[in-house]
Amino acid sequence: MMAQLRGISLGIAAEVLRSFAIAVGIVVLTFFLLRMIPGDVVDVIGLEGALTYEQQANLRAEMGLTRSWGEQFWLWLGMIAGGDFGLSSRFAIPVTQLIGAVLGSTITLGLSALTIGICLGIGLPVLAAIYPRSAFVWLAEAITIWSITVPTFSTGIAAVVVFAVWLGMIPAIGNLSAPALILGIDIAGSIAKILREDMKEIESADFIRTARAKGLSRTRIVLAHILPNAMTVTLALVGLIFSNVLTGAITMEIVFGRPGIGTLALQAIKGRDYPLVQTIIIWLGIAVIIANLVADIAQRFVDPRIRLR
Amino acid sequence: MTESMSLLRVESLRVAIQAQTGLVEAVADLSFTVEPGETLALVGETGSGKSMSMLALTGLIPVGVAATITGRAMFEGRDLLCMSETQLRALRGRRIGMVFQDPAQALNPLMTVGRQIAEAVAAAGGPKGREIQLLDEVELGAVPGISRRYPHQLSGGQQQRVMIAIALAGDPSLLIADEPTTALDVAVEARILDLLARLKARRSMAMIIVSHDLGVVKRIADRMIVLRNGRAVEVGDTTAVLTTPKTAYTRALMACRPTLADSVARLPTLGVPSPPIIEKRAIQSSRVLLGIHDLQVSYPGVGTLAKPVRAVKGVSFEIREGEALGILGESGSGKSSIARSIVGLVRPSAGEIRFDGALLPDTARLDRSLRRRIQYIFQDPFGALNPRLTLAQLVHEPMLIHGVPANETTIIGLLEEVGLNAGHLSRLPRELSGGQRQRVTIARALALEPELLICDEIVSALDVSVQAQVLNLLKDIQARRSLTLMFISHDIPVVGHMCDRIAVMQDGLIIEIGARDCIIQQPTTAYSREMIALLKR
Repeated sequence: MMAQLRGISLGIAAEVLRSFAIAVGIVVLTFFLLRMIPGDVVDVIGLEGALTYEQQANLRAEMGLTRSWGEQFWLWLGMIAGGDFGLSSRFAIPVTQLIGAVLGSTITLGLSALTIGICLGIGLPVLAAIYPRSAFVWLAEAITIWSITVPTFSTGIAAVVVFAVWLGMIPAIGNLSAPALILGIDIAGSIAKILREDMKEIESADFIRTARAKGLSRTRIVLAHILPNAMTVTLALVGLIFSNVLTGAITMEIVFGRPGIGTLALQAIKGRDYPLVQTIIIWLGIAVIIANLVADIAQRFVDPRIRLR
Repeated sequence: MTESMSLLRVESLRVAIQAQTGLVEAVADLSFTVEPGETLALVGETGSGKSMSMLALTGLIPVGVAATITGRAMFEGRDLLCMSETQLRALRGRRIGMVFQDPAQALNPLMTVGRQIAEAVAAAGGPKGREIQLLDEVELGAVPGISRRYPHQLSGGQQQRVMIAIALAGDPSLLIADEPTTALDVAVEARILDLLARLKARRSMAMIIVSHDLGVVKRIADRMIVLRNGRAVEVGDTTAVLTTPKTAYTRALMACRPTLADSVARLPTLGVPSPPIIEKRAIQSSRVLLGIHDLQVSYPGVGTLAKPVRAVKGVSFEIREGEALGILGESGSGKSSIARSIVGLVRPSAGEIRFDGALLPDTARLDRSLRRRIQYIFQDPFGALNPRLTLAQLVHEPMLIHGVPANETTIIGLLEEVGLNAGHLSRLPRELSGGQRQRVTIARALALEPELLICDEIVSALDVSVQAQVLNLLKDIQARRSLTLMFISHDIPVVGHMCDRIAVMQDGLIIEIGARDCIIQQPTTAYSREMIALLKR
C-alpha cells in the first residue's frame, strides 16, 4: 500500500512538473505573440483622443513601451512572479480588480452550462444503453450531431433574434438561461459522442459477457460495468471539455451581451490593453492546465491499472 | 422415462447468423443430452459451432449479432429457447454457471475480484460473505488479501479460479466451460482441469466443456461430441471415441496433432491432399550460424522507481547451419526476448550475439544486410499483416525495402511455394483464413532468402488441422532451402515434431539443452519431467 501511494505521488509530481512547464510556455508565448499584433494602446488612445505625436511619445515612454521587448518581458515576469499583474493601460485600474468584477458572471454561466452538459452528456448515453430501443438513443445521437454541426454562436444569434427580439420572452442582454442551455447542449453532445463510442466498445468486452452470465440486470450491467470502464477513457478528455466550456462561455457572453471574461477580453484586445489581455490569457490557460492535471490525477485513482504504474 | 431424467436435452438446434455475405448456418441440426452429474465435451475446430451453440442456449449471443435460433432445449423441464431474456437471466448464474476462455479479459479490470464474486452471489440471491467460502472452494482462500485484489494483480490461473468462483456463486446444476484452459500454460491447465473435476464431483453438478484440445477432453470428459461445420459427426464415450474413432474426421483430428511417441515426417491434414514428401537433406555442416553467449535482457519495471524485470538471465547456445533448434518454455520464460534481441527489436543488457562469426551490434541499429539474412515470423498472423495491402504488395514489400529485384513471377513463385497461387495476388488479408495469413507471413520471410528463420509461436493461434498444414509447409521449405530454424513454442509435441535439438527455458534461463530424443525421452530436470509427464497423462 505504501509503495502504491509512493508510486502515485511520484507520478503526480511528474504531472505537476509537466504542467508547470506548459504554464511557463503560455506566459512566454502570450507576451510575445501579443506584441506582434500591429499597433499598441497609445495608437488606440491617440485615435480616440487625437493626441499629438509628442504626447503619444511621452505616453509610450511613461508606459515603458519604448523599451525593448526583452526588457519589458523581464520587468513583467518579475511583477507577475510577485503576484502583481499591473494596471490596465486603458482604465488605469489593477487588472485583477477588473477581472474580479466579471469573473463571477463567467463562472455562473460556465458552471450552469457544465452542469447541463454533464447531466445530459452522461445521462442520455446511459439511458440509451439501458433502453436500447427507446427514444433516448435517438436523443443521444441528436445532441451529438447537433454539437458537431451547429456552432454555438449561430444558435445564440438565432435565439436572440427569435426569443428576445421577436417573441420578447427573454431579455436581449444579460440573460443566463438561454446561453447556459445552448452551451450546455453543445458540451453534452461532445461528452455523449465520446462516451457512447467508448460504451459501445466496452459492450463487446469479454467481461460484459461474464456480467451477463452472472444473470445481472441490464441496468446493473450498464451502471456497474460498462459506465465505469467507459468513463476511464472519457475522463482523460475532461481537460478538453473544460476548455470547450471556457471558449464557449466567452462566445456566449459576446452574443448575449453578458458582462464577463469574454466581453472583457474582447474589449482589451481591441484596445491593445496588454496587461489585461496577458493576464486574462494566462489565467484561462492555467485554468485549463489545472483541469487537465485534475483529470490525469483522477484517472490514476479511478483505474487500478494506472494507479500501480 | 429417460427423457425426463436428462438435465439438458437439446433437439435439432440450429443457429443461423446474418453475416455480410448472407445467412451463415453456424449450428445445423445439433442434438444431444446432458445427464445430471456427467461431463460432456463439445470438440471441434474454429467455426465448428461449439461455442455458438452454448451462447445460443444461454441467450448470450453478443448484442448486435443477428441470429435466428430454432429447435428445442429442455433444461430442468423448461425450454431455454422459448424463454424471454428476463427468464433466461434468472437462470444464468443460478442454474447455469459459465466459465470463459480468456480470464484476463473476462473479469472487469476496475472491480476487485471479491466484489465481482459478491455481485454474482447477490444476483443469485445468496447470502452476504459467501464469496469468502467460494474463494476457499476454488483454492484461493490462502492467498493473502485475495478478495481486495484487482484482476491484473493475479496470475492467469488465479484469474480463471475467480471466474470459476463466479460461475459457482448460484450453486448451478450445469456448468458450461468454454475453452477454460486455452489461454493458460500447460501446468496451470492441468491444475484448473483437476479443480473443475473435483468441484463437479463434490457438488454433483453436470458440466459441458467446450474445447478444441483432445488432450483436455480426454482428461476430463465422460462423453464427447465431435462437431464439424455445426453438425455432430461423432458422439460417444470419451475413451471409446478416442481409442476407436468411427469417423474419418475424428481420426484426422486426432492424427494431425504431433505426438511425442512416434515421429512422422509429415502430419496428416484434413481434406488437403499432402504433397510428396521431400526428404530432409542430412546436415553435415558444423558451421555455427548463430552463437549466443551469456545473453541477458531486462525490461524497465512498471513504475518510476521499480526494479527492472530480468527476462533473460544469461543464456548461451549455438545453432549450426541447417539445424532446427526448438526453444521450449511457458509464457514469461524469456524465449521471445532472446529472439527479439537477435533481430535487434530489444536491446540486450549484457552478453554477445554472433551471426556467422560476426558480432552483432548491441544496439537496435542492425545492419540491413544482416537483417535480410535473419527473418522473423510472429505468432499472430492477424496483426502481422497490414490490412490495406494486397498479398502481392505484402510479399513485395520486404524485397522493396532491401532492394531485391522482383517481378510478378518471383512473387507468384513465392506464393506457390507457401501453397497459395496467382489468384491470391490481389486479395487483402481479411479475405484469408488464419492459416493462409500465416502462409503469407512465411512468404514474406522467404522473399529475402534468409539463412536463419525465427518462428515465434507461429502455430499457437491456429486450429490443429491448420497447424499441421503450416508445420508441414515449414518442414518442406526447411528441407528444400536448407534453412536454419529457431522454433519457439510452449507446445512440446510441436517442438518435438519440428526440431533436431531442444532448449528448455524456465525463468529466463536455459535449464536443459540437447538432442530432441534425449530431452523428450530422458529429461534431466524435474521441470521438463513434469511438463512431459503432464502431456503423457
